[in-house]
This record gives sequence, structure tokens and C-alpha cells, in this order.
Amino acid sequence: MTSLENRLREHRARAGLTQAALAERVEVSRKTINTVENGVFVPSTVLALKLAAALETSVENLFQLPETQ
Amino acid sequence: MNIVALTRFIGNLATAVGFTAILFVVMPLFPQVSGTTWAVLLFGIAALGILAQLAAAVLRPKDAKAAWDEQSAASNRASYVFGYWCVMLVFLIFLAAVLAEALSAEAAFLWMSVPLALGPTSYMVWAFLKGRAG
Repeated sequence: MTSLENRLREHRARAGLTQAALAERVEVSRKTINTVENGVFVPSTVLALKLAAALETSVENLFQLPETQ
Repeated sequence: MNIVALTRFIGNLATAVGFTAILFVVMPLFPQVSGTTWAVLLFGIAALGILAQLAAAVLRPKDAKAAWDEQSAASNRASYVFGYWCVMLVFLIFLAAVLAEALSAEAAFLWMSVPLALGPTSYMVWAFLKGRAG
């Protein structure tokens, strides 16, 4: 499985959003935001773009491949 | 709380627990009740679960969208894969039992409904509890 580092929690906190509020903005469940933040679930490109747009940042700022790859 | 996700969880739990309880506990206690009655009862539970989910989705469309987001859809797909392997395993066990004349083919056919119903529903119950569905 492809591992993915993410800084979603950090960007969400900076935007002053709860998991539920961010979930509502991108039309997913709060649990999905939680599992993405914890690296359990790797989001699709569409969801990654929606998250980046909701947090007014780029996908690259939210998600990166581990440096070893 | 997402009403659609909760309804789906309760429906799956009722199907999984209901099937197991009826087949392994209640049915042996009432041998005089016909197989058709049990079949109607078993599939009635599953049908009620589906109807409840449909009603919840119609009443709460926003919840339905979140309850069927991409993580839930992935869990739902995985539940069918899990169900497939459950059925495959049980089929092989029943095949051996039928060949050994320990079980009739008719009974084996009917009992195949158990892994068919329990595989995907129990996976979705697990997915909900692990935060992987809705």
C-alpha cells in the first residue's frame, strides 16, 4: 500500500475548522476526515483537491510522498 | 450523528445478529415452524434494513451523501470481497460434507445463504465501528 504523509490536521487547525466543519465543506463524513488525518485512508485525487480548496492551500502542501520514495 | 450511516449500521447489525440468532438459536427451539416462515422472517429483516436506509436517505439527503462518501464506498466494495471469500470457504466445506454424505445438497444450498448474508453485513458492522464507514 502506498503511504502518504499529510499535514491536513495542521492546516485544518490553522483554518480554525473542526473535523465536522471541514467534512461538511467537502461533503464527506467526519470519520473520513479523521482517517485521512491519521493516515488510515488515502483520499482520491478529487477529495485531495476539494480538501486543498476548502483549506485554501495546494494539494502538495497537504499531502506528500515520504522522502524515501 | 449521521442518520443514514447509523441506519445502515443498525440494519447491518440486525441482519448479522438476526440471521445468527434465528438460525442457530431460535429455529432449533421451534422445529414445527415451516422453512418458508423462517425464510420470510430472515429476508424480512434484511428488507426492513434496506427500506430503513432508503427512507433515511430520502429524508436526509445531505447525510446520505456523507454516509456514502468515498471511504464508505471503499468499505462497501471491500465488504463484497470479504463476502466472496466467506462464501468460497463455506462452499468448499459444504462440498466436502455433501461428498462425504454428511449433508444433503438441498440443505447445503439453503445454508449457503448464511455466509452470503453474514459476510458483507458483518464486514460493514466492523467498518462502522472502526470509523471506516460513515
